[in-house]
Amino acid sequence: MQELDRNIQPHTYPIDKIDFIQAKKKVLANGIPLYYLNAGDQDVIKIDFIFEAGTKYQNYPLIATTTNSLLSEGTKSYTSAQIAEKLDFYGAFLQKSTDRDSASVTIYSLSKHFCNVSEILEEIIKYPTFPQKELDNYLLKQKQRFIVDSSKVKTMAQRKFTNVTFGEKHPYGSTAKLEDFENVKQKQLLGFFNRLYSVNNLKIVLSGKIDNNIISIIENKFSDNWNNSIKVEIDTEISNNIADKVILVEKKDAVQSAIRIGKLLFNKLHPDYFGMTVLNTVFGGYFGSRLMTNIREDKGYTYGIGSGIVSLKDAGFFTIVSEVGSDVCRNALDEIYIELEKIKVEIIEEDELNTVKNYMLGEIIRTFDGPFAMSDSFIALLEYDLSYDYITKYIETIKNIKAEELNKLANKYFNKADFLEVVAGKY
Amino acid sequence: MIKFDRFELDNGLKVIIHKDKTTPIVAINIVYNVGARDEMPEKTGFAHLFEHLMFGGSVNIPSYDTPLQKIGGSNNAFTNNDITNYYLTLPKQNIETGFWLESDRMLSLAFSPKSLEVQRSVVIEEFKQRYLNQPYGDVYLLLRPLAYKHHPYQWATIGKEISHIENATLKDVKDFFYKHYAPNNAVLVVAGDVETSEIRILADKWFGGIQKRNIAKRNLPIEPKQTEARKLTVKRDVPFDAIYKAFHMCAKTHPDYYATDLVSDILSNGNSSRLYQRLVKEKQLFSEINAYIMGSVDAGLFIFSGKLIDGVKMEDAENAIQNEINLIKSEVVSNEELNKLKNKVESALRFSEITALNKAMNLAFAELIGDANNVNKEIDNYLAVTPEEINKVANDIFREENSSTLYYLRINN
Repeated sequence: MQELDRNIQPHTYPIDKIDFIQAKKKVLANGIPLYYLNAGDQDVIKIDFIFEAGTKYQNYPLIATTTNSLLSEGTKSYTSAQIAEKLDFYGAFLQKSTDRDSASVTIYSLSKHFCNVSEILEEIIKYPTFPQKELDNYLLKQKQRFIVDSSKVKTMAQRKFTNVTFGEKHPYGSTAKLEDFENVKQKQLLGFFNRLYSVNNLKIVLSGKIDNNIISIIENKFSDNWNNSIKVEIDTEISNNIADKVILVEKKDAVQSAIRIGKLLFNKLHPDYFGMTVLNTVFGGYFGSRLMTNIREDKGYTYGIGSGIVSLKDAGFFTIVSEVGSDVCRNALDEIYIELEKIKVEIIEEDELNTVKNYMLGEIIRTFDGPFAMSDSFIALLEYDLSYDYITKYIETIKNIKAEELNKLANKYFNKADFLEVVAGKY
Repeated sequence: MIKFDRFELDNGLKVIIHKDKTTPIVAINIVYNVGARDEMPEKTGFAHLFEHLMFGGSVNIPSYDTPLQKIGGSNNAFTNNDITNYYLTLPKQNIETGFWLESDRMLSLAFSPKSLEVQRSVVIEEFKQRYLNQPYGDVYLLLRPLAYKHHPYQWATIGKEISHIENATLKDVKDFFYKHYAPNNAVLVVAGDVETSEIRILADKWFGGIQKRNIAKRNLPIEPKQTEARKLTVKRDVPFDAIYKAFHMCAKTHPDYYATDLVSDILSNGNSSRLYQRLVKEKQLFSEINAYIMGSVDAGLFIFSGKLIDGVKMEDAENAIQNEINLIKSEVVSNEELNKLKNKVESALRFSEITALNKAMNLAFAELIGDANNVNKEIDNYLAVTPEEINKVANDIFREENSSTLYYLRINN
């Protein structure tokens, strides 16, 4: 047998083509777009109801999340306990989530129980009643969770960063306060629901083992005009002057400090978005990134550090996130700024850039691994009314972008003077 | 049903292949039969620190991560009290790089002093981030030594204390490697659009030449039967009081395991469960409460954990838990309630079989502790449980003298 040379990596093959199954579209009689993605070999189904009803649409704190959370806590025909009992009996998993732009209800169900599950789903989506008793219990629990969260340096830094970056009055910049829990009224939830959980403000996405039978169940239940209100768009113009760019939120006994450094940027519709995503990956977007290599793998200041571009419907921002030993916090900050400067001054070497490009292409393949991952990727496009062409263009940019272009982007967007630095804990 | 092929190399490495044509990704999972339970009491946290060092370069390859990222791969690992598990996913055309990397670090490590120094700091920061700098973060550092007095489950994977990690030497690291890392102490699983014949060739080529090592038979102290209730009260800077109650239960391979798991489901799986409906919604004693089993290979723990609503007395909270315990001991559960939980278990198992990586992990762990095919018997094992068995295990486990209770109080109380 030929001697094995373990010093040499086996022959590698480029990633030239990424195959994935695309969602198909059907429009219900009432105008709701229904997207479906038939994939996977297991008899399971995921259904997402996505409303443009995120926190930016609320006139008072906590209303968007509370409305979304209480959808399943009592409806026209069922009590909260009955809904829980039925969903559990059919082995279904219900998830509700609210972000700044949208609010969604997601159900995971075995195909064989989907018909029964859809009965409950219809009640949750169309006829929630927001009982006062359930609201009181929910607020009691959430308030305690909020207090526990508020004692974490990570949460402290994240809230402060959000408040200051957008301004506390901006729909993207406000965060809840303890006293807000006393002021949530049932009437406000009903108002928010009637205004935003309407036929005109909803998209439905089905994925998994989807056949005509499943589609017709949805058509039968969700084709009428149960709520016809039209959403009024809100103003998300940012006019925010940040006076103080270095902020310490003190916590005296903290053994680690949470760091958030960042700035307003743009969302995924901007022409520089793809390039900045590549630049961000080099800088702090994967395990082999410069931030991880320097601050974790060389200095050992942290368990983890990373950076990312957060895309919102009407804005976007860039942030660097870490929790570092309080005793080495200043050193970690210094190193972050050294890396920020370095990526502006030095052109990224070919070898490093190739690693990043291939890593990113691998990540794209991973986002299409299995029916539910495919549907999540599709939903990320849907939110911005983008087609699959967007992914094709993204792949092309990753493959073709040059180090010189990335250098220009770094010099355009990575100026230290524009960055906000928040540290929660102690130096 | 997860179908698979299985073979063993001459050096004792077990290899399992699961073919899944629907995914563009191949998952490779290697589980080593070593965890925090294999550590010495004065050198805890070692299995986990060692997991970090497995990424610090192997005997012929200076960096593990870089060549993998270069071909679009991604990887991670975890350590628990029983096992150390390494996994990676990569585009299928580059699968051989995975074999190259994993086989070289099974062969031997670089044992670089720099890597030890840095990972020592990283793990200490992890200790702080996850256990010291979080509200309620040290609960398991307290509860484990209360419940276990002899078995090594008395320490958490991260270790008893930071000094154990600070004092680790390169010699300790080398000894640990040769004691536990070997083809005959591991299971390799490949899942994805692959052929068994192709994996057989790759496994022979890359792992076949690694020598079998002497692995001492595991001989851990057995935890004697607990004969009196244990209680511990601590005060911490947290916003709300909390209670944790642990009962000793059977091992994962014991026939009662499935009934015990269903007891925890009846109490706290889902919003319709007893604890949530009665203690959170009706009586409003807890902001959150859970009952769960640790799922460990050796005899484990059945744990209740609850955070009290502000103003609720600890005594009332504890009595409420006790009432639920009394109820499940005295009244046989109805078929309807049990069927609900069985449906839920079936559904959870189905959803755990969606991705190639999950399937690979499930197969590897099942093979390591017995037989990979047990993943396909799980559902029947749960479905076979009767209401009478539920009642029996509840009575076996929930005895006052079998309990360890941690009262975790806020400082200003």
